[in-house]
Amino acid sequence: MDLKKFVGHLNEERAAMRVGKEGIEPNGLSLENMKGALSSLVESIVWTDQEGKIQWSNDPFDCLVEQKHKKVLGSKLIDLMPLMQNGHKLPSRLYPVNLLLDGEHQVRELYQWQKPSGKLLDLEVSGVQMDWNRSGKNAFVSFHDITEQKHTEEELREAQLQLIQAVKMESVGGLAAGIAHEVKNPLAVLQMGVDYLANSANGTGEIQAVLRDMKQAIVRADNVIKGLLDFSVSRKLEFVLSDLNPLVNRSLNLVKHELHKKQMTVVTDLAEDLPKICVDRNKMEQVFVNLYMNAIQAVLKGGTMRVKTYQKRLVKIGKVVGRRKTDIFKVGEKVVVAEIEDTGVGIPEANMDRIFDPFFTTKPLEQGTGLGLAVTEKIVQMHKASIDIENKPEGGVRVTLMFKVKGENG
Amino acid sequence: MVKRKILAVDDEPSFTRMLKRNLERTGAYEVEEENLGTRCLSTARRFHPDLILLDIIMPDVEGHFLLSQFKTDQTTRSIPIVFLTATLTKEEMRKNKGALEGVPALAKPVDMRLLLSCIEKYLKK
Ligand SMILES: Nc1ncnc2c1ncn2[C@@H]1O[C@H](COP(=O)(O)OP(=O)(O)OP(=O)(O)O)[C@@H](O)[C@H]1O
Ligand SMILES: [Mg+2]
Repeated sequence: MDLKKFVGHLNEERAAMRVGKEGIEPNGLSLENMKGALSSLVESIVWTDQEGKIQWSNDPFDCLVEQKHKKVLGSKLIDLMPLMQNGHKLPSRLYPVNLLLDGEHQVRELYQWQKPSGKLLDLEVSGVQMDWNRSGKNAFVSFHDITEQKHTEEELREAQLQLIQAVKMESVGGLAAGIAHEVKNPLAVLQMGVDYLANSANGTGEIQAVLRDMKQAIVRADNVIKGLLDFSVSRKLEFVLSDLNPLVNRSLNLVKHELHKKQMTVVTDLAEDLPKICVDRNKMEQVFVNLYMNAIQAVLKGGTMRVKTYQKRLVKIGKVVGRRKTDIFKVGEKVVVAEIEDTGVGIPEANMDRIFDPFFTTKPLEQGTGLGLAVTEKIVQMHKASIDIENKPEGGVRVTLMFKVKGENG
Repeated sequence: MVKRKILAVDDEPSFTRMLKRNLERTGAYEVEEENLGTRCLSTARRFHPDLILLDIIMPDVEGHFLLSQFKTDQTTRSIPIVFLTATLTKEEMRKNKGALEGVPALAKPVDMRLLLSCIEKYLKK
């Protein structure tokens, strides 16, 4: 409904307006008629007196706020409907009704409001200020619920982003094998050349140092290429129904030298009778190896790594748990969980947003390429599983992997 | 001491040249280079190497095909072969226990020390 036009119309009529018992009564348009008309609109509409107290509301509004009409009348709009903007409570002076009563002629803005029943709504609120009444100003406000529309838009955007990401990944994947071949061969020549020179004993200490740096640079480039190759999607995933625990143990076995070097203690707490999950075993081993390596590299000598597996039923809505189509897990679904905890240095909050970015690393050049978590996240996504990384209050990092159980919500 | 003979097959001359330099400097090996896949069987027949270093991917002939050629030819079938590959990651190599189709394999770029120990391990007795 176009409120502006409506009020414009009212104002035109104003010249011929005479003030009746109810306050107003435009010519040929009785207040009762008008109220009747407004009630049958789908839009929620109220008007308030100069203190922001509701003088009149239509049925859609009463339904929106889930209150009886009697209760609505006389209540302050701001109390019935405390609005939020960008997740913050809207201060009283910025509340649309107050803006209008403070002299603003019209407002139109998007807000959020949490219904008494808990549901969060996106509302388009428009209002105009009128002084058609001798007893002071009135605010005339309508609410348009755009929650559904916004969700559809968001889902569309998300789907688009995923598509873009998928296309990007595929091009990286297709390129990777080619790059690997083209780059590794020249690297191999360089490596051999450096080895040759390093073994020509007549080099001074300075020359040996230069050769060491060159060799390190070759190793670094090789690691990047290796990471890109892992990133490649050209190798299709082979899903098999598997037990998680043997997979956890096999991957632990692959890093046992590293664990030993750091003199680390490994504590495993693996639940028995876990339901089977559908995984590509090699890829998932790679995920665990990447996460173990991060834990190992984060701890000081003698640190501890804990690995825990268990099953649970999801009860709370969270980052990846919800009721929408795009949520990976649904509330009520049973999942298998693996947790990897370390006693390491933790992750500075400022870095949290970036740890999954390809090539983001805080490690010395020869140790990290910053592809570990990027690869890990990608593999996890291809499994329709989830990964969450957080700092523990007592220090160190906890990584939580959640897997779908076959037969639970597809 | 008799020098052991090694045939280096790779389409990149600079790579086989480097191999030759590095291996021959040790004084223990004589290296023959071959950069054409199509020619390497005849080179092997003539040279009688004690070991062949073979690149798997070459533009003219598939390494796996060369392997089967070597393995079925009377004069070459007992010669040990070591693959050199640029397309496998170290991780994959570790999983395959350093072998591809039963043939020991090394990932490029390869470290000289590793290459030498591998050659010594598989060299024809
Ligand atoms: N368990 C952990 N404890 C502390 N920091 C971590 C941990 N895991 C990841 N990080 C941080 O996240 C960054 C990115 O991790 P990622 O595994 O992607 O790359 P990387 O370990 O640096 O290199 P790569 O895995 O390629 O060798 C790390 O450099 C580190 O700063
Ligand atoms: Mg890592």
